[in-house]
Amino acid sequence: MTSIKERKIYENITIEEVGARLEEIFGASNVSKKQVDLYPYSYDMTESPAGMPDFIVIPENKEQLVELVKFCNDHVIPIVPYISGNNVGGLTIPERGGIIVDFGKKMNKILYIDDNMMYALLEPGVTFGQLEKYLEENHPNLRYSYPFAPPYAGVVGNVILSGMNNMSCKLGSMGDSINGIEVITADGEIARIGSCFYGKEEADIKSWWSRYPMPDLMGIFINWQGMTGLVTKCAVQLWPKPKYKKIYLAVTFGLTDVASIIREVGRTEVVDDISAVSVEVVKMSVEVPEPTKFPGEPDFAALLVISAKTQKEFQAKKEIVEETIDNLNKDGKNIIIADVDEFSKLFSLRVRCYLDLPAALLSLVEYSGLTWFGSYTPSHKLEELIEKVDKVFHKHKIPSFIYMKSMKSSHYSIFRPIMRYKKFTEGEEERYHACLEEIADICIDLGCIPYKTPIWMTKKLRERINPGWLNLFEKIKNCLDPNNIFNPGRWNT
Amino acid sequence: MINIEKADDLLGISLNNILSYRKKDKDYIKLVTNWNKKIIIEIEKFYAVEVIFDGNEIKFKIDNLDRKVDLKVKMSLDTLLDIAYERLNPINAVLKGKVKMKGVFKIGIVLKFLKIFVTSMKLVASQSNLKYYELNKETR
Repeated sequence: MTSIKERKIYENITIEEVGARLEEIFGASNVSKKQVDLYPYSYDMTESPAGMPDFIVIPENKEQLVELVKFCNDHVIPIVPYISGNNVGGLTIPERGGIIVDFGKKMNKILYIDDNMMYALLEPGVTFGQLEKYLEENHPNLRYSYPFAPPYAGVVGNVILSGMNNMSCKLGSMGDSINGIEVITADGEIARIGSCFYGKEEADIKSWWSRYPMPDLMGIFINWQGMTGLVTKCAVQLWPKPKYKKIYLAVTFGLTDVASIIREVGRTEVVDDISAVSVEVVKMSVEVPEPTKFPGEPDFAALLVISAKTQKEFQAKKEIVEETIDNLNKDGKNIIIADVDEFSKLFSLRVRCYLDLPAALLSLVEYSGLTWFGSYTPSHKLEELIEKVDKVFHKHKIPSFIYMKSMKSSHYSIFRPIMRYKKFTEGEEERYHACLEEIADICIDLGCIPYKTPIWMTKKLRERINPGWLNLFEKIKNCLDPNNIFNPGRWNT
Repeated sequence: MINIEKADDLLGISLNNILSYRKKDKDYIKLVTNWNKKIIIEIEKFYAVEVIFDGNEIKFKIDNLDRKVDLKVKMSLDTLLDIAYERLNPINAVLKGKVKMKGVFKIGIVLKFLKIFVTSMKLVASQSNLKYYELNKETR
């Protein structure tokens, strides 16, 4: 690890002077340093330590943000972006104080939908629920992809941190579907990346149609698990809405049988999405808050999403999936599939929250605390991961909650053990953190790469990452953010 | 008024969902109350659940099942769905061996079971509103 120069915030400016400048930029009604306003930004659902910001600002446009970045860079003041605080990694908790930029309040406009070129141009504060509703009402022939997240979660934050979605088996990570971004760099310059790079001043809203063929500078701004610039616009790809769509439920008996569904059905290339959860999670969604698995119950439930333009195409895809499952059963797996629309009526309609994403999933929002090890995972290690992580859950007497996903025709997977807990109950954070830390060690040992990483997790990664990669990573971060003002502390920078 | 036990196993949750569907229907309450029978329902590859009709209560048991029960019914998940969605007549299902019954000659019990369980299941299956957030108003 290269050494990071220790520095004091506000060493050459008083907090009163900072407040006055912020009011000049944003207007007094859009700036606050009142404890009561700052407090909600100081923590999230995770066990990440709380940290108070010094100010919160509500921007309305990028010109204000250019002024903010220049000012913060001159005076070495941290900037932390915020949309709705729903990430599960402590990512918007100010590690070193500074200024929270809350995009969710005013910079939340859907700027343009290009029906022809199939993209949406968004401000950072747009939420999944907002985009879904807008498309449904104005562009019913188009669809976007939605994560395992509530409707009030932000699109751009999830996209630039390469979250997953409900078309991931087809598309891969959300980061793969970015057409372009507008970003303010530390010196206050506005850069546009992608086909929107034409234009001396503003870009034509119709010009955000491709990420390539120029050098992919997107990489120096996305996936940093922190920031290297302040993103102010983002264009994401949309897709034609299929005429036919159906979701099948596959339940597996045998702890690790679900792994072969993720791999084998994924590589058929006929499904939009495969997501799987421990059976305990199915019960959580129907109001069994602390479930256990009983003998004879399946271990996992997987949802297989098939979409098609014609009935014939749909039927052909369905046959391929059924044949793949048949072959797995002939190989000794124990899998039953059913039409989830039919099954959910008889079981409990509440499980439909998993089908109608984005949704406030009871399994995630029931408790005040939520934490996880979310990772990109080598698919061939899934069996070992499931076995080992399930044991850890049992050892700590915590309901097993494993969420998995096939990504990009199963080139890789998502493996995400999740825990809900009572955040404000004495000792609970420590108990759950101990379990999570054990799980993190197992998963990292098996090659999993966490995303949306809390600081304690990046410390573990640093011990194992190739030094050349770390040096390059830090050189780029230092080059783009020499005063370390952009969400400092992430990745232990 | 009947009380239906809340279960926390998958089949129990499902049976609760099905048997609760008509719990405010007077005819259904009359049908169920004081039936005082024990029925075992087993879904192949899953497990067996004992449904106990006791006075005005319906309870579920998944371990230490009673040896002596009034009726035992066994079928696959596919068959259950076929019956619920009326692709398969339950009597034909028995005749074809898709539904296996022990106690099939207790005609009165079998017919009442069909009236209670299969009719409820078909009603649940035929509901058109899939908006879970509108339906579960009694829940948290």
